[in-house]
Amino acid sequence: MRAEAIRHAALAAVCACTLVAGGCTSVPRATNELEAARDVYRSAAANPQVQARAPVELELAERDLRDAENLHSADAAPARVAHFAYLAAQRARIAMKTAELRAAEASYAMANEQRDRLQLELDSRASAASSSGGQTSQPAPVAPAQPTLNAPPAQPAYSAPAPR
Amino acid sequence: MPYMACKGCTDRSDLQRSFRLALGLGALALGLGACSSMPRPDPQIDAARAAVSKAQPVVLQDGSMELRVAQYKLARAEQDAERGDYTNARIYAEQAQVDADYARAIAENARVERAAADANLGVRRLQDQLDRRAK
Repeated sequence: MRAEAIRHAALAAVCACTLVAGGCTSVPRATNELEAARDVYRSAAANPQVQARAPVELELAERDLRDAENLHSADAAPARVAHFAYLAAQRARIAMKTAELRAAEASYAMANEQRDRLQLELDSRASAASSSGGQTSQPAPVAPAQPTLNAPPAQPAYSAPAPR
Repeated sequence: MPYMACKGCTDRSDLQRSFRLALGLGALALGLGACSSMPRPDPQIDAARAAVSKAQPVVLQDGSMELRVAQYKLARAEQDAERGDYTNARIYAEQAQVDADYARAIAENARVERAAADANLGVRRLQDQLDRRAK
């Protein structure tokens, strides 16, 4: 009877130790990946240019980050959490790059408008000078050829995710 | 405790039969679970293929590393799907899609930024000509 009691006590002690050790050592969770994804998403979401120029891409990143957070809270397999965290981080990067792209497109369009306006002014000054001087003046030096985007305009830099 | 529960089972062959039945049911449940919960990720692989195809003509230099990663992951997704490992196939396909999209965004952005820089240079040259004429 006494030996039985000792055995039970020893078993209880072993169980308690296992539980304590289990609590102390961290269960592998995809915390690093999730933290990295949160950081990338935060910098994308905090950028007003991204909010204004790439809201759809930002929303896709937010959706994946939410999925990663939910899986993490539900103690899902670390690989699944890491996967959604990766998708969220990449989509946040896509959102930032897309915002830069749209800003560059706007800058390109503005530069072309300005170039046309300046070229017109240069031509009109040249013709005014030639009519007042009564001589055939050389046409205004030709401005550098208008740079063209040698490929079709950029398409949205995301493809629709496959249904889950 | 499982031992206590089976104390009543005196017949050894009964025990073995129960064990085999449980094993069979477990295997069936696992098989059915695998089939129903993870279908072949063809939509994800198709989406990844489309994203890689869309990126390939655009990515020449900038984003080429990201595109290579996407191509590698797409190949892995196809291999895993062939082997019946649908879980990994899906993960690789979804990652290949975002990697290809990212590669394309990098390449498009670099191309348009270069064009915008050229356009702005043209504007500055015209402005200089106008300034010279004004003097």
